[in-house]
Amino acid sequence: FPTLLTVHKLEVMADYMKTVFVTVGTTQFDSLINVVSSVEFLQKIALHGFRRLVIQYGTGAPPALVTVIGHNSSSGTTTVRPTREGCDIDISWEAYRFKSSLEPDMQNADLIVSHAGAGSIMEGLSICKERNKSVTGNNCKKLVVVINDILMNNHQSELAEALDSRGYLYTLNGPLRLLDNDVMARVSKFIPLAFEGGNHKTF
Amino acid sequence: SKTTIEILHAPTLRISSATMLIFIILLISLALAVRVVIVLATINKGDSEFRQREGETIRSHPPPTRSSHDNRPVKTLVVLGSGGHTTEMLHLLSSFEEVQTLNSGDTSTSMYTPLSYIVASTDTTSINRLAAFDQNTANSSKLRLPKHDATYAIPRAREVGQSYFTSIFTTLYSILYTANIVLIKTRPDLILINGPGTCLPVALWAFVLRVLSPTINISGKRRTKGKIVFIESFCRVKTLSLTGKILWKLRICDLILVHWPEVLQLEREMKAEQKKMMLIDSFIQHDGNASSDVASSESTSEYNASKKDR
Repeated sequence: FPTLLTVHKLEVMADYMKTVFVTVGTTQFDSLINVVSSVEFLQKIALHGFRRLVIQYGTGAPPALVTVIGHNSSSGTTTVRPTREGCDIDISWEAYRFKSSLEPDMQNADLIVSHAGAGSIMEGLSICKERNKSVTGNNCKKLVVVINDILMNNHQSELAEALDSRGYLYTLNGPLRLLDNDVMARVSKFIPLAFEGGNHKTF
Repeated sequence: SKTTIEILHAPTLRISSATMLIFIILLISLALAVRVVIVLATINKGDSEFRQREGETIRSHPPPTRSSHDNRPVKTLVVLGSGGHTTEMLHLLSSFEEVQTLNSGDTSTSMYTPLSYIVASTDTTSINRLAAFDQNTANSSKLRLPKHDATYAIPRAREVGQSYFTSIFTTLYSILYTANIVLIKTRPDLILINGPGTCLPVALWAFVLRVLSPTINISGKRRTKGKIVFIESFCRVKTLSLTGKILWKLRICDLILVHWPEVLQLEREMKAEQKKMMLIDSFIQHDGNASSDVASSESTSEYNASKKDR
């Protein structure tokens, strides 16, 4: 897939590029991967100062630079069309299936976009909490959870919604919500509460 | 002449004691089977009824205080259900490292010892994770497990695509293999399970162990074997899992632990036995004011309104 290489003036720290990290764990979540590798999504995150996109795409198809055409709600598929090279959005990106630990990529990201798996959610919350001890305001690290709207009896979304209603993360009802006009703006204004976890000794 | 009087005996029905025993066992099995069928048929009945009620204040019971008389180590058997179930169970078990045995004053020994695990023979991930903990190589900075005794791998009841006929035998073999571990090899005081459905055979045999076990042990103190604790998954926010519902309705667990107040309220509304299900805060802590945590219709609409503003 085409990689858009960028050369940037240095930001605050050497090698620092505001980064979005997308993860689907061990699942296949093609509709999310299609959306986050689309021109529209790249444009939106570029507008908010992001310069790098890292995609962990699990067991599904590898991402390609595409344009989103439409969405079929009943089958849950997002129709895309490959985009020709030469799209000049200023974002560098990489993608991989799995790594033994996603922690480094989560640590380096400013925004984590995750599927609704409990493991990914808990890991993301713990890493956000650590990083946000020293960062305040809108630039803090945050976790956005995208619910897979084609899964039947989606009890998986219960956990994401319960944590959202308590202010720890931001949920979206499906991948296409990422492309809604005001979503990225609201995400950038969202300041999550630090997830303190449980009382380890209770058990 | 003598008259011979024949005494006619009523024909006696002679049944050997073995036959009687088999007959009784069959009757009990039939009764249990009927009860299980009824339970399964009504298992999801309660959920939709609850949805219409307002949230009420709920309180979780304080944890039962440990009896001051019984400081003996607790022989424990843990079922690792693979995937997220294993992850959650290992996280819970890592708290055992810090429990002291009251007797010896030795703070480094968990009172839950000897500790054995049951895994599925095909669950190589869980087996590898246990081995890594032993060698202190995996995430050793985050989780430490108590010392464990043995790991038993149970053969699969059925492979994907296996014929239903041979599945009968492999399932039977798997069930009997499990019985051997629970009833003969380990005979644990405590069994910890957290799903999925594959842990049900272990739970059932543990129940049999509890029924059969002598309640007075050698030193004269009462100790019932085969206590069962089921910990629901952290992901179950609103309802119990199917495994949890089955165990709750079959009433074979000594304790069912849940992580979210709504599950607690939903299930305890249904049953009179309120002390056997408790809320634990191992993964998330809830406010003391429990009504703010219950997703009643009122707080849901507030949440939706505030989300638009966010």
